[in-house]
Amino acid sequence: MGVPISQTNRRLEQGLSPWSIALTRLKRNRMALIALGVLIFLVLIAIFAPFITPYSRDEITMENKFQPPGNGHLLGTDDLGRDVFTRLIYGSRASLSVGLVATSISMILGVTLGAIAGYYGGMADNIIMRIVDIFMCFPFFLMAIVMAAILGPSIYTVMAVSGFLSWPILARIVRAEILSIKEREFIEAARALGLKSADIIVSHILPNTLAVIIVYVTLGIAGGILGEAGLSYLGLGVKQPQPSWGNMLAAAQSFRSLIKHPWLWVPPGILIFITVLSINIFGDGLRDALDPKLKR
Amino acid sequence: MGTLLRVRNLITSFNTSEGQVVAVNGVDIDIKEGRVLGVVGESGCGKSVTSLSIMRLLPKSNGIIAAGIIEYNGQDIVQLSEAEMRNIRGNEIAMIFQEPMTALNPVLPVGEQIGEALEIHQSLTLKSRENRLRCIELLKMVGIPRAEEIVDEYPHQLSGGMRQRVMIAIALSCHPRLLIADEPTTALDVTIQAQVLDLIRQLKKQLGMAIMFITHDLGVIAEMADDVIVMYAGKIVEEADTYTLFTNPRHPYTQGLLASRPDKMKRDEKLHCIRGMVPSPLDMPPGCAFAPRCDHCLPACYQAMPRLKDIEPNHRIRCWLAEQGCNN
Repeated sequence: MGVPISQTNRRLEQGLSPWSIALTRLKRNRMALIALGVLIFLVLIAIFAPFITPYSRDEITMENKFQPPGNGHLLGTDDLGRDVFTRLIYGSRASLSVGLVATSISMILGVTLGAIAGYYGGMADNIIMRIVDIFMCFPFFLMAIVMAAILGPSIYTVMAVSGFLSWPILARIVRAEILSIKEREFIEAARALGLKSADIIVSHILPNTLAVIIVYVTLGIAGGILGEAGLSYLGLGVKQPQPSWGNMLAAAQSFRSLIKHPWLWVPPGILIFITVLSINIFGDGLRDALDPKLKR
Repeated sequence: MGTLLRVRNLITSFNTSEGQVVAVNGVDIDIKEGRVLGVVGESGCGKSVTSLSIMRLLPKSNGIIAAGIIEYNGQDIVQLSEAEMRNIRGNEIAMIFQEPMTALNPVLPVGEQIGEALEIHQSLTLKSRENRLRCIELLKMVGIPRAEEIVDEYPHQLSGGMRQRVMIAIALSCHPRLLIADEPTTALDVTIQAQVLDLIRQLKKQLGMAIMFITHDLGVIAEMADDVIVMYAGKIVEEADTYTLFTNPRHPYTQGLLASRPDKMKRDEKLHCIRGMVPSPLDMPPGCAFAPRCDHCLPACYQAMPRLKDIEPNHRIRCWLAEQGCNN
């Protein structure tokens, strides 16, 4: 007599922590796993860029400009004879690091301010949420362009701009989560034990909001990458000669390249598309895996 | 034996959008070292608010202790700073909550939740070896089997009775001298209830702490308490030792409560109940709050609130019948 599979599965989940349950559920989601694989592959490429390509990043050979793919150049060469493939994989460094750093900034700001607003309420809440409202009124690109124009275009500007403009959404999400969690009985129980407010926030409330934060942060990285691409495309982001997917796309600004040299702008476009899509699919998978209400 | 907790004229009120609501109105409580005080009353009579006032855990936004003293061990804790109060909570006065399902943090292993109290009050670093051993010892003390494994498990992996045992372990982790148990068995089924009550009684004997036991279950009171307070609409209406209260209840409300128990009923007999409803705290009648529901109501009842009067040694009731010397 065998035990039905569903029953053994359930028993397996019983003996696990919430995190390992989420992991088992994530493993069952094939799309999310493929997306994760793609992302890991991209990160590895970015890290090991110098070992993958024989060319150096900024090597100019004017006699080789606008070479179509083939002839030793996998994706051809650009207007200065630089190898497009080389620049593409170096460019992933800029794009991915902007995504990560910008999201870290917005996470630190958003979680801290959201937690303070949600837990303490009253004056603190009012002030922080009004700041959030003000930030939310700014159209992202207009603000980003103005800030980049003032600070001067560089990869750090892009990181700072995307980071400082995207925290308000996270602050709102964290605040809303904390508002509901702080009314739960175990918070009162923690206070009855004599815990300090700061301890309660860090050890009792934040672990309960972690699922939401993780999902938002994952999706936020995609936003950061898109922001970088947009700003660099406009020439306000990562500066030449440092490559990024955004400033490589800028090649499409010239009508001649748009028509005659598609190898300059199609590959970075596709990479942005694949990266953002993978992050979004993986983020969705994470949300499903971390959502306790979707227990299947 | 000394008095551990002495509450005098406690008035706790809440600011609500409809106005100020006085939830506890002039309550006096004495808990002696090592004794169990039962507090009974229906929902909304101020039992839980009384206990939260003693812990100073009223919601910050609108709950205030408007008057009164709460003397713990000779020290008025209403005057203490928040930091001094944190030192008392969990350490000197601990609390068991009603819902074991929601009073444990779902994302932390139970060991960590016990260890936390040890870290704050006994400076045993969380995740240290001694801390862990203490946690396992506490889990064993509350009768949890496989304590070495349970210590790393999450609340959702435990049954309701086990969770309530964990709650008790947390509450007792720092050897409090006063335990406030706010309906600790209401959410459990009957067999588990009996086990948990047995456990509390046995631990009380073992550790010698005083207990304030809040419940609306008279059967539980009869089993657990040495003395009983009956509350109605924010006031104490009768106070006696358990035996006297059950054999000779004098306040019409207590009599009604005792008559409403289903245990002595015959088949097809109608269940006795107290007619009417508890008056809204926003709209209290001018006299005795129980007067509109009382079968022995006198004209005086609608005029003013009677005092809490001694009718025998250690037996006090708040009723005009006692004031005017009639015996009902």
